[in-house]
Amino acid sequence: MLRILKNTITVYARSALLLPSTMILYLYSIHFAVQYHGYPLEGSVLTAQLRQVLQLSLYLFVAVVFLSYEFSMKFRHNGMDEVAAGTGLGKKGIPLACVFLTMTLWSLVFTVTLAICAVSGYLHYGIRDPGREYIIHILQNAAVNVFLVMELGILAGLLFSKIRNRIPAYAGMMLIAYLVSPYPERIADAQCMAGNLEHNIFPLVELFGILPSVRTGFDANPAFGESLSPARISLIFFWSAAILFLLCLPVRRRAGRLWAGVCVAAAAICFGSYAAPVSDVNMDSNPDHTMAHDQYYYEFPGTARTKKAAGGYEITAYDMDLEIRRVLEADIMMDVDRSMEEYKMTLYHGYRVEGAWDQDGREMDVTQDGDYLSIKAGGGDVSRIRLSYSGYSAAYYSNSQGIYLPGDFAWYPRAGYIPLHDDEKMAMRSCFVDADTGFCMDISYGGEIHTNLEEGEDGSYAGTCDGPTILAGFYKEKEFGDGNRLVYCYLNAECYAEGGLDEICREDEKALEEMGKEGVTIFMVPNVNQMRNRDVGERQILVRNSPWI
Amino acid sequence: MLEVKDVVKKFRRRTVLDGISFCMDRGTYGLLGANGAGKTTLIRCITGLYRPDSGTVSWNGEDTGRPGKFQDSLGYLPQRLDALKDLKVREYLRYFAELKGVDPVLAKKEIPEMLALLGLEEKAGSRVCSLSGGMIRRLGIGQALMGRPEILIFDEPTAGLDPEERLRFKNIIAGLPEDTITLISTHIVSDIEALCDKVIVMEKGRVKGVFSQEELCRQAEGKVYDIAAGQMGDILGSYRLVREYRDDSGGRIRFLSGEPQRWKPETPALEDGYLWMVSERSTT
Repeated sequence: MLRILKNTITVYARSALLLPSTMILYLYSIHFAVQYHGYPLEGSVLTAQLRQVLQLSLYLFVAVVFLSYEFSMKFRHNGMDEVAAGTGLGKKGIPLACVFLTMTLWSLVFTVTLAICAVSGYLHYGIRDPGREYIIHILQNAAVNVFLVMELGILAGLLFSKIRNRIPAYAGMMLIAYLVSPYPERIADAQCMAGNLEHNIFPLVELFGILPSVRTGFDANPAFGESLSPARISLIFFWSAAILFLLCLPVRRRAGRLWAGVCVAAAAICFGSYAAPVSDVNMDSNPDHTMAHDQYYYEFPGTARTKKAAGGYEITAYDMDLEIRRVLEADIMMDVDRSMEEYKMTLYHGYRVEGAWDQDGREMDVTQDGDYLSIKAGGGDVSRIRLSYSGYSAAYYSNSQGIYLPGDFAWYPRAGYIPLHDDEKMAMRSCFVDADTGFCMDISYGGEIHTNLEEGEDGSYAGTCDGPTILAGFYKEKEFGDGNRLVYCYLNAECYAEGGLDEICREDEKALEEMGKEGVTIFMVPNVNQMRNRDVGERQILVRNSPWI
Repeated sequence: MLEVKDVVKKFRRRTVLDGISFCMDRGTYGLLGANGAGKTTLIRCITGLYRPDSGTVSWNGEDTGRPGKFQDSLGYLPQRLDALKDLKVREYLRYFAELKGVDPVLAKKEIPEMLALLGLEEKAGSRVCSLSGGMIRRLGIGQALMGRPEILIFDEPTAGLDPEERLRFKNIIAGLPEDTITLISTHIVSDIEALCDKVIVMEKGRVKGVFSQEELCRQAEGKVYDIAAGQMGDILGSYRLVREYRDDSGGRIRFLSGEPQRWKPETPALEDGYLWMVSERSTT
């Protein structure tokens, strides 16, 4: 097979169409990827290196579909498949397998080259990210958004080469190019804007959403990086398995049928993973995604989603077991200061309650209506309520790639009915709790956590505060002044400039002195659905997109 | 031995092969039939590219549709093979040798011999795309012969070739080992005459019979007439025109008729026997 592969590569190299086209694409990709190399250290130049590479995904995918098609056609419909079928133990698939391998070599070349472009552009600025985590992020993105995407394109081209006539084949490939491009999103967006939320076609459009959303024109969140959503990766594998199934289908041998069965199973599993709930940062116009969800949910004409009602009790302490993988899974024990028949609570509507129990394990009846819970006692006195829920917020993300759960957001239950959204100002409210509230958090998460609670020897985070804020991603911490702490995104322009951080800390310390505060944790958080620059708590301050308070 | 038994193949509702049965043992067989008779479909069923809807094709008792010794023993030249034109001639043969599982050491030894047999030694380092049509066809024959297969199948091997290339092809086939089974699918009768011990006559998806050349000729015994063109009006009953031609005496026609005519019948040729076997006898 090695010799067949070598000859297959020779065919590619000697083709008047394939090799020149590939070289042009390769050189253009490098040129595009290095456009921001050596730029002054300002703005989003650090993350621009990776963004440039990701913007190539669409072009690489489309180009590789056509190249793969044309390359495969050299081995199909010209007697080659007949000879292959009848010889060499009937291994009809060997020539096309070698086509796939040859194209895969090109995928690897592109991936490695573009990864080097992005990494070198980043390293140029001498940023010391902890454990080289951002470099790893670049490499992961290259693997998914260049390599995997190109591999899918190769398979698509192979599949289309079953069509002998070029006109319908090209028409099909152009249709695929359109479906993965940003254009269908615009149609879906226009439909939603016209008020047709009932006919939201984004789920259909997103079945072809294999590419990263760098094309939508929204700024990236540098603390989160570029989305490596398991849903999108699963989608890429789903389509790959589906295409492999269609390629294996005509094979009559037992091995071929077995492979076809494996492909079906793999496709089903991948589709399940794609469809399963996942928290992500999706900067596009989908009503269910980061930029638009809360706007559509709270502000859409005719909706009245907010309530206000006193609970008649207080939650004095929270004991939280949190697991953050695809979504937030929470098991929370709350101490309540009085026993009642019904407890009104507020919990952001993105979190689905699975059950409620009192301190004796008696099940409590829970009704969830949007952001509001009604929990009815199951009989007997209640001093503690255990609530189990899972889910996510489109704007306040919580997944294996990063966490943004601010303490003034109802990602944990609140006593009473609180309006979470300010309809007049069209922004989420800041809802801190009483500063004497006790919190103890056990967080199961694969990365480093930044929070305003102290970490104990057992790894849990405990203390009193006006709301636990949890951040994870490309963050670092710096202590300054009188027990103050700055949690900042080290990819932010103001933070990585020479001497910038010291100046920020000096200015923030002055500001804190003026406010009469000390021992404060300043969190630099993304600006999503907020009109305010900062939210000030008792001993925490959330500033948006800038470390200046 | 290759055995085809009651093979039926349909494409959508159209029956292309309708209960084909025959056996092939040693020797060269011609598969003779008009365009659309089902020759290529039959060959594809034999090579395993198509699976018959019913019936079996077996090689020494083994189903040819399953991977096994048949594929190891097969050399096949399809009707059209114009792949890999960017490779050089030597690389081309090496590619197919590898695909067929020929031992690399044997292949290395066999390639120069093959090039000599095909008359392509001088073109060994040239790209396939630079060869003439006849040379490309020869090269196709060469890939079929790589590995010294026990069974060879050629689908329309001489179509489009000039007389010199066709003669070269015939010489190659004539030089094959005696124990090789060769099947040549063609609608050119002269190729059958030159090469084949037996003839499988196909018409409209059916095998009319398997004949030696003499047997096929005898099918038209007493039915072949060769007359001056001007005497056409004297032909009695229905007839099948074989060909019109001119010689020193002027225009002549050769025809087949089942009814006794006033002329003396000619000695039948292979073409006559074939035409008599297939349908559409009447032209009047």
